[in-house]
Amino acid sequence: MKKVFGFGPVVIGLVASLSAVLSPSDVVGTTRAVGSVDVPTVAVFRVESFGVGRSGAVVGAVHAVNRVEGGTVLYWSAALQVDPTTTNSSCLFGIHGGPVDGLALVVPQASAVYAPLVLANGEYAASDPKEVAWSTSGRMLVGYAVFPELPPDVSEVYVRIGYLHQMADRPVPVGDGPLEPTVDKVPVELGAGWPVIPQASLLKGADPAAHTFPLYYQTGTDDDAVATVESSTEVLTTFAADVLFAKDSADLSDEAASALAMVGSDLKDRGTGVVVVTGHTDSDGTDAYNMDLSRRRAQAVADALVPLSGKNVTFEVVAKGETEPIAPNSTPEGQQKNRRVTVEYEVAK
Amino acid sequence: MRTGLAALVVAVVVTLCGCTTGGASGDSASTGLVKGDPLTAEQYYQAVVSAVPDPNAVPLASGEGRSYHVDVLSVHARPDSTLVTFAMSLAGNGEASGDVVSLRGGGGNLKTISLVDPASGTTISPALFDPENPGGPLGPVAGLDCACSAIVYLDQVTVVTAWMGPLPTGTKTVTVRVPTVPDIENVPVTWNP
Repeated sequence: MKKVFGFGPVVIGLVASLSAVLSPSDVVGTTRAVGSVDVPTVAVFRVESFGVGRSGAVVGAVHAVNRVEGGTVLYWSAALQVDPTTTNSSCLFGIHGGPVDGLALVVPQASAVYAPLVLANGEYAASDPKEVAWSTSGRMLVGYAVFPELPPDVSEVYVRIGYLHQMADRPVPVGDGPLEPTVDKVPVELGAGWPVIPQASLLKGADPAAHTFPLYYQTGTDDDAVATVESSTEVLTTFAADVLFAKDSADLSDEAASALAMVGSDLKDRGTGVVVVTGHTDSDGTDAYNMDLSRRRAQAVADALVPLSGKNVTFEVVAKGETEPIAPNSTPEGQQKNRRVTVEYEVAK
Repeated sequence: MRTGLAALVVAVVVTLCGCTTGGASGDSASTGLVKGDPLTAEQYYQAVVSAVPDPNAVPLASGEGRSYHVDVLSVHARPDSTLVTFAMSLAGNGEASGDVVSLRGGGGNLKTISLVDPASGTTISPALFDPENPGGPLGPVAGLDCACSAIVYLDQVTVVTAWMGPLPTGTKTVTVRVPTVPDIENVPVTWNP
């Protein structure tokens, strides 16, 4: 036993040495004791600072995204990066869109985006901005936000954070339970403990559906002829009319066949219900002419898709003429974007 | 004997490290985290500073148009998603209104940027959601929020990020398209498990 105690100073020295030679970038993926608590780190982020002088940046860490009763809690911390030219404080949240501006969990496994819950009393289930928004150089403050419950099969999420809507640098594994120990005093400094999250009974009073959004993926072709926005339940494909049709014509071009074949194949594989085909024009020409041209073009696309699409779908043709531009008609580029035919349909789950 | 002492020291170090915490935390074990050395709050802060993206790092590729200078810092691809990090700043003749800048056609964020796989011609852009219409039908793209950075100030080099769907499997390089900036070609892609 005496020998063991004899090694005590050596051991303490070794521990101190190990701490001093920290390899900086390996903090992510570790749990380290800071002060009196364990501090897990699963991702980091950098947001340019926003304050008087706008000098330096806010740096921060994502500590955990854990399932709790009634929701999913995100723990994060941030501080203004030390900049010798300024002593400004910096704002990470709360200026533009409220206390949780920009916070979101992006979850590809659920094809959904989750925003912080709003409790029955109208307050966000998140740290009060007055407690965490204003950090100072090198002083990391801890915040939290509670999101709707994640589906049980979700194992990782991406975190969007800060008024700049920055994405943290890597996917975050989903864990379980609130972090402990908790501290009631705010602001919560890193190493002192973790913020107290609302009780489960309060979280269950929130409406998770109001804070859960389908995630839409944007894909397209290199020549911008076809652009698709797709969720797990629906698809919206936009064809550039200049690819499908000659000027002022509703006769499909040779190039149209391959572009429409892709959608026809997808409709046959996954399509269900009513397929809505909508024609749009730019603002050249009269309203009546454009309405008629958009109708004829939408009808031509629908007619081409019917034999490609199988029997699980039916078609509806809609004419919008020049009434719904998506770009200014004041430039040739904008007019080109406005000349389009869209095909929207639901997909079987 | 030396081996025995070394093992004893290691064992005691491990024990001491394991006893430095004041309370149980959430289920970090299930998330695969490694137990690291204790840090002071200042050391932890410095570690985070060192780990975040550096806007002055050597870029993978760069481009500059009439409004912006763009450095592509990383393109990390996974089977279900792609995460891109840029450092952006105003170009010399940037179109600015005071300090506030909007990407042309981009509504002030990165949702209209895209990555092009030159082999297949497939393009991907940041994923979208509709904060005004939870669970509802797909709205007009212009009104949608995105899993990407907003751009407010570019009077300094600003790190911004964009999250997208997956690239075609095996894509080795991409062309990065940012509105008003010439195509940035041959940007290498890092595939992560």
